[in-house]
Amino acid sequence: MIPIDDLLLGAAAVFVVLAIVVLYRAIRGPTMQDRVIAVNVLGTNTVVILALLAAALDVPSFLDIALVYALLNFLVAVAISKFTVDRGGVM
Amino acid sequence: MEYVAYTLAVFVVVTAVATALLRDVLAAIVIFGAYSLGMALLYTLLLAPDVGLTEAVIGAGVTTLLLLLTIAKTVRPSGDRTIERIDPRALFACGALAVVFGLTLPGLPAVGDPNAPIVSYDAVTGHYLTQSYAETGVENTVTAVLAAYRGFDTFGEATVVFAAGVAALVVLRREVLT
Amino acid sequence: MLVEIAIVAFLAGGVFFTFVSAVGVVRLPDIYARAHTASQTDTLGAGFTLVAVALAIGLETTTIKTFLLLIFIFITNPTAAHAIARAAHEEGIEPWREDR
Repeated sequence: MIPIDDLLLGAAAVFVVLAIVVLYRAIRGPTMQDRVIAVNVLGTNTVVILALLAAALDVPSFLDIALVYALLNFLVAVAISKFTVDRGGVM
Repeated sequence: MEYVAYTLAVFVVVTAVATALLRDVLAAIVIFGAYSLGMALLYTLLLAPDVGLTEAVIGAGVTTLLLLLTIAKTVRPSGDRTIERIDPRALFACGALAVVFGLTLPGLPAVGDPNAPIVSYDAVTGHYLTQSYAETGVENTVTAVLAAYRGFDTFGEATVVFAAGVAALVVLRREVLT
Repeated sequence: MLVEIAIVAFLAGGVFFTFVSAVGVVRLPDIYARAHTASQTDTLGAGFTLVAVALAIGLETTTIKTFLLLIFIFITNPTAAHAIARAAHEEGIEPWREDR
């Protein structure tokens, strides 16, 4: 029986590998919106990895950081999509 | 724990190289945001949550917005190529710099090494490491030093950053109005 | 024991759906299809994993933060994907069709 903490860490490692896979789309493009979508997925992955680490390493304060990231991620995605459209009516 | 850190390191290196090589400036900014997220995750994994938080807010948030505002007032170089053409001399210079910096790595102590020189020879560090919880009640020593021992200093920094932000907003606002 | 089985099940679900979303973002043909996989599958994967995290932490005050995170992601992720897809539409990117 594997300890739960190791399972959570292993899941975090899988999430990081998936982040590298998604990075292909972020670099390849071809349009700007493709990159923003990929970075948005990366941000969600980051939040989930932080939550997993908080549970696995038993550091609850990581969850606060995860909350900040979740909000920041949304802000950046909306800001860039507003920017790429001239008049900014994306919401 | 280690393999999470290693895969994160791969992620960070890939994003850094992509930021340097992408031809479209806006794309480079977006990838730089991803780089900041990876770097912040790495800092947090090394138990420096303050640095991770700052890296995420400054790197992924503020820098991205500032650069977006900057290129809104300038032009984006367009072209068919996704990747910038690599200048061999620049590549050589960057490679040499990376090798020189990399040569110092074996001299560093391991992460969390209790026999690291900064811990074992420095009385001040030792005092903070042993007494900070009793004196401030903060679990993380870095946070204790940042927010309690040098609280006024951090407060002054925050004031300067806030004033700079307000000033930037005022200037931008005026430019929009005229 | 039952909680551990639940954690493993939710983790497996989360990893599976995030894997599907990663494959979708990389393999699907155009921005609109990718936006759809990013908003739905990724949100589900993150949701499953966060439920697993909440179960692993147990009944504490920090669990509230996990659920807060869950609610945030459920609201912001599809909204962001919608904003990006709409930006793509206003920029005039044509949806992909098989016959072209």
